[in-house]
Amino acid sequence: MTTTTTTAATDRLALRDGIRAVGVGVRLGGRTIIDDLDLHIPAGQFTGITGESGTGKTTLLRALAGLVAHSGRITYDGSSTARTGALAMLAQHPRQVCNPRWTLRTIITEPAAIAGRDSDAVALAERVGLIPDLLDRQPGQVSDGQLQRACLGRALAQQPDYLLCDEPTAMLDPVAARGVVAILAELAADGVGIVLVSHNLGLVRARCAHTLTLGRTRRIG
Amino acid sequence: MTTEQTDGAGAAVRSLTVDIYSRRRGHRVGVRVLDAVTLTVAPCAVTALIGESGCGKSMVAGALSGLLPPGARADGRIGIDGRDLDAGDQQAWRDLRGSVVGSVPQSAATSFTPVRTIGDQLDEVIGVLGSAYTARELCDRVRLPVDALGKYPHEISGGMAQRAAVAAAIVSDPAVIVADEPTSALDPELAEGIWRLFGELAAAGAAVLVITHDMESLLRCGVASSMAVMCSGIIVEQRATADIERTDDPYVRSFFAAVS
Repeated sequence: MTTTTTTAATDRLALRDGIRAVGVGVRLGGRTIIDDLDLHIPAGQFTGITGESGTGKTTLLRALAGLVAHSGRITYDGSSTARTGALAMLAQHPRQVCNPRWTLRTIITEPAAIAGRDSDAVALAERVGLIPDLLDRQPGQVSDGQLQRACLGRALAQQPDYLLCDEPTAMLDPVAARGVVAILAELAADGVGIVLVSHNLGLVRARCAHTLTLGRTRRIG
Repeated sequence: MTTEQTDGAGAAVRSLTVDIYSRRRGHRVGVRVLDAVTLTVAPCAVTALIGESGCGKSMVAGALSGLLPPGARADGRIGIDGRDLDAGDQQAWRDLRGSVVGSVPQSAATSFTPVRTIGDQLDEVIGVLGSAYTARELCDRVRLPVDALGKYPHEISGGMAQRAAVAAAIVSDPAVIVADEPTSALDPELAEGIWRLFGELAAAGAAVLVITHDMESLLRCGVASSMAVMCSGIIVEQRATADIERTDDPYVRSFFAAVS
């Protein structure tokens, strides 16, 4: 039975084309940030993006998420538009992407509520290592690391096909960071394509089958 | 203003307790986030403050910069470069911030005004505090490309914003520098450059407190001579970096066992 299920899951993964970027370029403020970049992000795997600070890693994630205008073509499982909720993004600075007036409970459950689904905020908080007592606090009353974990809980509530992670462990202590990476690995095993932007080269090497290294205005490897 | 002159250089936190109050369902609810914290940040040295996410490290940084969040109530005394301050005296902190205490916030990208360029904001800090350096020289010190000066905060990367925040914190060569996760968005080479810069500032006399999860990079540079470990709002240990793992404290021993 297990073998059958695993085979079925593998077949489903094989049917998904992943995210494909072809000839993608981004210009911001008159400056070329990304130039003619090709990238394939398979479903169910980690894809790493590394490079010096300021080489466009976050901008590339934003282009993949459709948050910044770009040239070239990006497809999501063969379609030019991603289905609603298929992409989740874990931002580098969680305070920039959380409503400061909401509680962590509302922040975590918002995507499911939008999709008309119920979600268990306590279970999601426990899964990401967040003390459930913090759910009734607002972002200003928790640390950046705790808010980062709430954002991961929000991403899990969304049940995305692809999770774009921008330095997901930079604000976490090493133990909490290992916990977050383990959750990402579970998601990948469930078929979620994980894009991991990180300066932690050890983590990228350990987890990512494919790694893109960005250099100044062009791809170097 | 309750500032008194004392002899101690550097910074010394004594019995600092911070409660944060908020309104929940019509009731005022307080949460204790720091409990009788005592911490010494010696001059001419880099002190590292480490601990699990959410244990209160950033709150210590906020208290040492007079930048506690809204709703916070602080009790305790903090010595800053020979002055003895009431932790909750906002006016006293306003007089010292920037000139005597330089602060690098954890969320560097959100610490700049979004509608003015980085260079404009650095020039303003230089104009208000006075500086031996120009904005370009500060860029060189933190290895920030000079063209970032003409950009708005949203036009630069998180790592560039972090270096710009370090540049703003060291404009007036403050006696005390408090840096909260100053390298979290930097690649390993730039991170080591920032640690070495803090080492140089300490060698020139500054008392530097760095909060970080990136112990590997910090220890590799060898600039932190003292280390303090926090747990649930309490400093459980502070001693020389070389001796920290020889502590008898069971939490510190388990913390290092877990992160190594």
